[in-house]
Amino acid sequence: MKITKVVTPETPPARRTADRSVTTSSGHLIRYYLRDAQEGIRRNAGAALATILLIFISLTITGAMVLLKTGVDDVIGFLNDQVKIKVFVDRQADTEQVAEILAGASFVRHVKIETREDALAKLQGLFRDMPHLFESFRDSRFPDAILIELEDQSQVETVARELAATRGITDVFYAQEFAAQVLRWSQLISTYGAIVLLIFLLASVLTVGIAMNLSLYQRQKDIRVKLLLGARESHVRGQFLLEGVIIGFIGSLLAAFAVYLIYYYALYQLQLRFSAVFDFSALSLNLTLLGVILFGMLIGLIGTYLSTRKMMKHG
Amino acid sequence: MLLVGSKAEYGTFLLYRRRFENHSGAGHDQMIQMKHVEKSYRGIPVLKDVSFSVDPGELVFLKGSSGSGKSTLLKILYRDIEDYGGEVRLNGQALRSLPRYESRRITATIFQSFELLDRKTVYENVALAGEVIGRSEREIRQETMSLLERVGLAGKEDRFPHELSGGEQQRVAIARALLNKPLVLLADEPTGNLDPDNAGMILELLRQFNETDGITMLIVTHAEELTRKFEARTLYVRGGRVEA
Repeated sequence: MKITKVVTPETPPARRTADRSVTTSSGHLIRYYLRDAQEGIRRNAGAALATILLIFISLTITGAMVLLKTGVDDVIGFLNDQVKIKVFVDRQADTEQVAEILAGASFVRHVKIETREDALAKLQGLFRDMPHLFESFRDSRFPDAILIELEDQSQVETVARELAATRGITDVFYAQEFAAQVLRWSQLISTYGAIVLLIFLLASVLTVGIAMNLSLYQRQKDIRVKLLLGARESHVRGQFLLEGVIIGFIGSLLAAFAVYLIYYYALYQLQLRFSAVFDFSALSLNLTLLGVILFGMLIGLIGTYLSTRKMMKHG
Repeated sequence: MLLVGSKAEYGTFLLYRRRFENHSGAGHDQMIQMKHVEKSYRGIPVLKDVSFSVDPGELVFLKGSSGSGKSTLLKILYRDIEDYGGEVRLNGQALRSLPRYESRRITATIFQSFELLDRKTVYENVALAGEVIGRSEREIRQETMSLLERVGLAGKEDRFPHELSGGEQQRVAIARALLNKPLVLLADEPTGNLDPDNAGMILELLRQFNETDGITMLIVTHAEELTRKFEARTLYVRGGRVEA
């Protein structure tokens, strides 16, 4: 029988007093974790890609909605700042007389009459390329209108209500009314959008969890061996958490890039054209992008945390 | 209780190891001490009032028929089973008082099925033991190469487990178990999957490590004939009890 001889070290350690120095450090552990997480993602590439895609979609929608909300707020703010009210005068009434009465009111700074001819001229400009549409308006009986500029913007709604009840005035239009409508729609979209987003985010967390469960299943033996070799349960779990955070980070980084593109090609162009309305600050953009990235990492962390709970209980 | 983990893990493992080795608690003369240990599975007793001890540096064979409770006894020692009655001490310290990961660094284990990771090379399998506790790459490399040489696998570092014979795979497992310089090596039927020649080689290898490095060894085996030539104490597990 062939016996393998143990090659004795040059200075054989004495029995029971052998040098048992074993030095450990956090730096080595972190390097090892990163390598292990990278290997885990590679081995589980399909599930990792699906998770990254879902996180990307969810967070792109989230980021775009945040930016859109900022834009809508700007529009609402702009409209609320308007101090003009437009009233249509009853055809039986004398427009100039009504305008004179209104101009005498203390809250009015300035009034301007917009006759039927003025309105048609405006429409002609608007329908420059569509003369057939303009022709259909030409025969309409437009009422005269009066544009009223108020002294105080905060009084717009009160004054508009008063005007609506005044004889000789048929309709009252003011920007704040439109702003309120925009706000109502924006709130409606926010509510339903939030529900859709919540579903997306939950799906992301679940997908991360499923991907990690798959990974855990594939690496059951690795986990057992590591624990038998003296790895701490929390460290083994930490490797999976790191893996989840990396997946979340990749997904959210892509989402942040997409959100930036949406900003640049849509919102920034709007800002260039309507600088008086839109005011997207670099800070709010950067905070949105940072939020998207941090949120993605959090999704990865939560998904993995939930899927590895069992490991902690039975590790 | 001195916890090696958190801060100490990032410092030095040696400090703890020395304190552990110099521990002056009760039962200090024995490396392994079991007192009135009992274990049942679903009400069926597997171990009944088991008491025995193993001296530091001693090599002990543990024998018994299948299902006699040998593996259960080892599982208690390597902390795979925690719910048992009685008391187990490791170098005088109550096993339950040690964090599980810590006792596993002090008490290494090898198995009949080798438990090597198929995707990792021989080198990577052995190095893993050092990596999971945060040892430096340089230290791991030095000691892995040295151990592979000592177990007769120099030059096979880049092979994968499936490219090795059963005996060679067990030698990789031994090198991995010894990388972190444990005080105790538990072997659960290490020759169970090997032919008599390889089984003899593995037992001889273990004996030599026991002699040169002073590692306390508790080896569960069926190989009656092979162990006869070793001057080592044999314990028998019969009817859930351990007898000399």
